[in-house]
Amino acid sequence: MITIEDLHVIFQTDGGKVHAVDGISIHVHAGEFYTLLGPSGCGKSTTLRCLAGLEHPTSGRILLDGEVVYDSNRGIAVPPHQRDIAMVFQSYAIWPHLTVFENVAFPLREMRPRVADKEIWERVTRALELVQLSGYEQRPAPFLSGGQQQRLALARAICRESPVVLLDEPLSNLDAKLRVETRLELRSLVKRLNMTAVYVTHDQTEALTMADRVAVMNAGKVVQETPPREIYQKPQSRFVASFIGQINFLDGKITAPGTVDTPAGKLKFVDGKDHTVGAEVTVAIRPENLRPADEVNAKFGSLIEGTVEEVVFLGNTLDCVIGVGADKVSVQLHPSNSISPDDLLKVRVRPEDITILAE
Amino acid sequence: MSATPTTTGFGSVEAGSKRSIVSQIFPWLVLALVLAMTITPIFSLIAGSFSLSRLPNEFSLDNLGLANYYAVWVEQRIDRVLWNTAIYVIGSTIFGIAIAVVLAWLVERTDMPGKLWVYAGVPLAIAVPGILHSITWVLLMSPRAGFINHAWMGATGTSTPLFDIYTMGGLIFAEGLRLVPVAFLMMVPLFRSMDPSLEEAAATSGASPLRATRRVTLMLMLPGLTAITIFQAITALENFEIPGILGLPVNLHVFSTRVFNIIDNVGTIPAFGQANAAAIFYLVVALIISVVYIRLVRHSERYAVITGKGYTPRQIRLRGWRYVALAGALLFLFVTIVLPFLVMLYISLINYMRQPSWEAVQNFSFQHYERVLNQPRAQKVLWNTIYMTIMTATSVTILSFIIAYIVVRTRFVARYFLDLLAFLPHSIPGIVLGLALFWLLLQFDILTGASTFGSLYALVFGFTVLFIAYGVRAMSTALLQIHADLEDAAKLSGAPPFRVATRVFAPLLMPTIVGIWIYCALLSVRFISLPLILSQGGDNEVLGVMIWYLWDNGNISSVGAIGVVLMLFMFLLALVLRFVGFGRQRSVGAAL
Ligand SMILES: Nc1ncnc2c1ncn2[C@@H]1O[C@H](COP(=O)(O)OP(=O)(O)O)[C@@H](O)[C@H]1O
Ligand SMILES: [Mg+2]
Repeated sequence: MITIEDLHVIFQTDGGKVHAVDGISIHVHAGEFYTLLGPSGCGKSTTLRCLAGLEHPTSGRILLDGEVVYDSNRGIAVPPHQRDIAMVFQSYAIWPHLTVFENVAFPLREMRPRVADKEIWERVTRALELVQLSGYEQRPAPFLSGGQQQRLALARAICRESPVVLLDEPLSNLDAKLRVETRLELRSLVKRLNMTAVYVTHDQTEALTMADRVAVMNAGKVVQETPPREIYQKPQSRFVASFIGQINFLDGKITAPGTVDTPAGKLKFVDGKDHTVGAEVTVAIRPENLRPADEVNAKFGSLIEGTVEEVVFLGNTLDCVIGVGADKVSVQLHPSNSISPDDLLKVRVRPEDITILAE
Repeated sequence: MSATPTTTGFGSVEAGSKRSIVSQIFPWLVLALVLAMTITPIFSLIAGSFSLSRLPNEFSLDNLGLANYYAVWVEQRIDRVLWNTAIYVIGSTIFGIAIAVVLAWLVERTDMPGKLWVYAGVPLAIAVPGILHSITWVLLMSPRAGFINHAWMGATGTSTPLFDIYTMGGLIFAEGLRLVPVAFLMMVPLFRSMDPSLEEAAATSGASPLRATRRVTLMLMLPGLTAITIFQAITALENFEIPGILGLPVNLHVFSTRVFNIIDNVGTIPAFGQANAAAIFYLVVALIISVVYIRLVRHSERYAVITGKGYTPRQIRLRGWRYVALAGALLFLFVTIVLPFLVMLYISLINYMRQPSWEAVQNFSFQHYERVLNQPRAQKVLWNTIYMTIMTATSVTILSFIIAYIVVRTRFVARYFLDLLAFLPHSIPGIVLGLALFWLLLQFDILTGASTFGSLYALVFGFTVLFIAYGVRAMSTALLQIHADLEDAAKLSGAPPFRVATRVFAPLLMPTIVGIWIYCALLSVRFISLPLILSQGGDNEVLGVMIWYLWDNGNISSVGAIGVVLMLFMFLLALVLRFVGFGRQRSVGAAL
């Protein structure tokens, strides 16, 4: 449905050139909910704006629904108003001089050949119903709350029934509680309407809960592209591992196939890849995968032990830091454990919970 | 859904690439236009200053030299004019800024009653043309016949007048008063945006209210105040109407009158080349001050987005002084608005020039109105003025939008240069531009056979150049406050550029558009320096110029009748400006 090939965007700024997008190639299938995740400034919005036609790429090719809308080699650049794309902006971009109804009707009124008033009325009413804004039609748009404005922006995007919707951090201006509620609502709405969505966010939880596929971006490049679960469980680089969730890094050396030597001792791992014996690697372990050693898990996994240095009670978990040699390792325990500083703590980690990073 | 073509489709390849070529060339065309509008007149001014031929249309490359510079700078001692100009500019700026600061402080930071009168009245003062102000002062304070002096001498029996308006003091008084309204409008936001907690902090540190004002508020406002002061100094430097009526008759010259005097001196042959040489000196001085101004405001004021913080600053209680303050404020409004109107009204109604008396009032008649307004010349001039005003205001508004849009919203490589170029004309005094266009259009007509010289379009062109800096600044301030996403959302909704302009920008910018339009209309009626040089008889004579010549010929009653009509018309425009254009005074000030 959407194909981006080798996209580059270079901005000329007062401080020199900024390579905002540095050779991105992605392919989004029809009906897919695709998420671009990355720290702020990594080029997510720029990529999205290239798709919309709002930004001029320096080079590359973009196809929408099989048609070339941008090709630097052939000098093709279809302007935004001729691309059949809907977009939800981070700022919502609600026109303050129009009513709620007219905001939603705007894209329909721009369609050629003209859409009949009756049909506009029907489609706007339906869109407002879908986002639960019925009854607000005649209200001036600035008199809506933040959450309502967000839904209005969504209604405007869906009412024109374009096959593709682009969303640029649409939830980031909502308060935390509303954000959680809206996440799944938004996803199911997009799925129900059978739209292809490209969703930009810097919030890992949004990416993990909403996406069919996540592309993690860093410094203008896509560094990993997989379904959300895999991003969390099988990060392929230190950057991805540390960007999503908490993680411990230990320096290690492969001593035998399936065994890595670290300051915390020899650890067994399985990742189905070939590692040369003697290679220097980084070992990544999530805190929640370190469980207190007991009879049940004694059969599998490797033992790590250290002195407890810090304990933080977080309600649903108990976070501790244990000193293992010169390194520190975070462990996430169930709050029922009673642990205090200076205790000796033994934890075990399963081989499949260990990630070996080749750096 | 994947394969079925959608109703609107993704657009054709050809249309897409063509559009992008247009959008790439367009900014360059605008740049070329602005370049032509600003640089070519200056170029012809410089070329003309070397021309030793007697008249501009005799310009030839074989007859060039430095004689004009020698004549003006050495023989005629331009340093004296410089000295006079310096005193006049500094004096009137200090006088005007002082009044404006007090007024702005009174309405923004004290509990003076009747503030609404000041807010409503000050913009009206902008509407009074400078030439009518000067004429009023002459009628009141000329040494012998001035109404005030006459009454004074009659009452005391002395033969020394109370005032003499034909002096440097008179110039400073008259121009200082003219600077107040705009300075006031620029200062109000400055006072308003001051965070009161800063002063409160000073108060809790033990400073008395007056000391808190002086040590905190004033210090924080200093950069803004300096910028406004320099801006007003430029205005004073460029003004012609005041020194033209009050200084020129007694050979008290500042730059603007000196340049004019060289080409319009009764009994001598106009020396155009010399006028140019003097104008270049004038222009350089104005440019230097403008550069200082640009450097001052470049980072601070220019890109500051107005935040509508909803606090009310602490008000200083004036106690018994409240009504004294109000009386002072009302006196200012009376002197600058009501008095000129009354004087114009008076001279328009009397049969012959006489001192105000009960007897004069009894003999009031409307005969001058009938006579003047029935003249074909007056009707033609009226029509010229209206046409020229509408054309100027419209072209400035459209051009400002285009330039501001390119500067603020696009990544056009030369956008900063374009911005600077559009600001440049701000430092060209009206009289200098008039002179430059005189040369340029004459040469242009000789080369092309067109007849731009002496046409109304010459005035429209000149005024557009003069006001474009103002328009672009006001427009970019407003554009900066419209989130770029609002425009992008419209594009993505399928609206082509023209529809984005009419459906998103036009309604959102309406107050600014109306504001710029009316303000430029006011200015183009008020300004007489440029049309005075470019006016060639009936074809492009406008009201200001007609008043100038009527006054010059001593036709005082006609001046009165036209003055009254003009002032009523200007008040009307100013009222519309206040109620329709700009969210109150805020943006006028911010934009200037
Ligand atoms: N119009 C612009 N001019 C210059 N630099 C820009 C522009 N837009 C974005 N950038 C730069 O490009 C990089 C990527 O920006 P962006 O795509 O907005 O990041 P994000 O991932 O936070 O959405 C940033 O370093 C940003 O400063
Ligand atoms: Mg962004």
